[in-house]
Amino acid sequence: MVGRHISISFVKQRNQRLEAFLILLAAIIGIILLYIFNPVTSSIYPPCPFHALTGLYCPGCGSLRALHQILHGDLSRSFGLNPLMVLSLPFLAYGLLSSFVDRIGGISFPVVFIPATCIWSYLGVILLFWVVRNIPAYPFSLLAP
Amino acid sequence: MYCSRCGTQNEENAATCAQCGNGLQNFQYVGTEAQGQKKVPNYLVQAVLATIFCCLPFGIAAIVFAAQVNGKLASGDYAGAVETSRKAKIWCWLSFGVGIGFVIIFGIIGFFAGLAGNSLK
Repeated sequence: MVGRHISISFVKQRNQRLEAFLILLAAIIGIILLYIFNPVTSSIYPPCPFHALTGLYCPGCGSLRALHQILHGDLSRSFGLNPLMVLSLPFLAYGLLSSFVDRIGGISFPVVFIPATCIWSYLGVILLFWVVRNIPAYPFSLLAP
Repeated sequence: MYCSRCGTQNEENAATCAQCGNGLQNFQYVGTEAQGQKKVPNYLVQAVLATIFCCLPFGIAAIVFAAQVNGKLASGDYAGAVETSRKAKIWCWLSFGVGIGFVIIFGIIGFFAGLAGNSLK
């Protein structure tokens, strides 16, 4: 029984590792593509489904263009395209990096427990950003990509 | 605390024996998070990725569930947190799935548009 339990968890661990490798590979390819091709001029990127269907901006509009600018070191232009994405990036990078290191290398980073109120506030910011960046008047138009 | 299987001395609040991995039944809960119980993922990273890069409202639903997972964990509702964690996962996958589906449809349309454009020249 004990041996069987160990072999099952071992297979699960190997699958998790393979999964992490594949996601990491996809992320690296994505970063290379984003570095080379500027979403403003290139047609290799899909359009935002929400923007394509409604003509309105979503909270994520401009994030690929912003990532392209960050990869080229232009943080201020990146911030102008999508400040929400730029501000969320440290959290996303830490979460993804710790997950890759844990699954591939077996080293776990300290887990930061985020209080629910912080997540609710963050959600509020996203929804507010979604509405405000669609107002076609100064200064709200600054938030449009 | 001593392990009942191998006798190794472990830290007082350890959930499993450091030596043999045997479960230590008398471990105590520390703080608001129940230690020793399996970690309950809230999928917040995936939910934010889905919201910012898939551009779909499904990501918003996943963030709502992520907030509920941490709220339930903080109040000690472990079973509720596990259930909500499952919902957060489902909405993340739904968001990624629809996003990828859109990319594939866009790719097919782009491919045939390119073919039509070439044949017109």
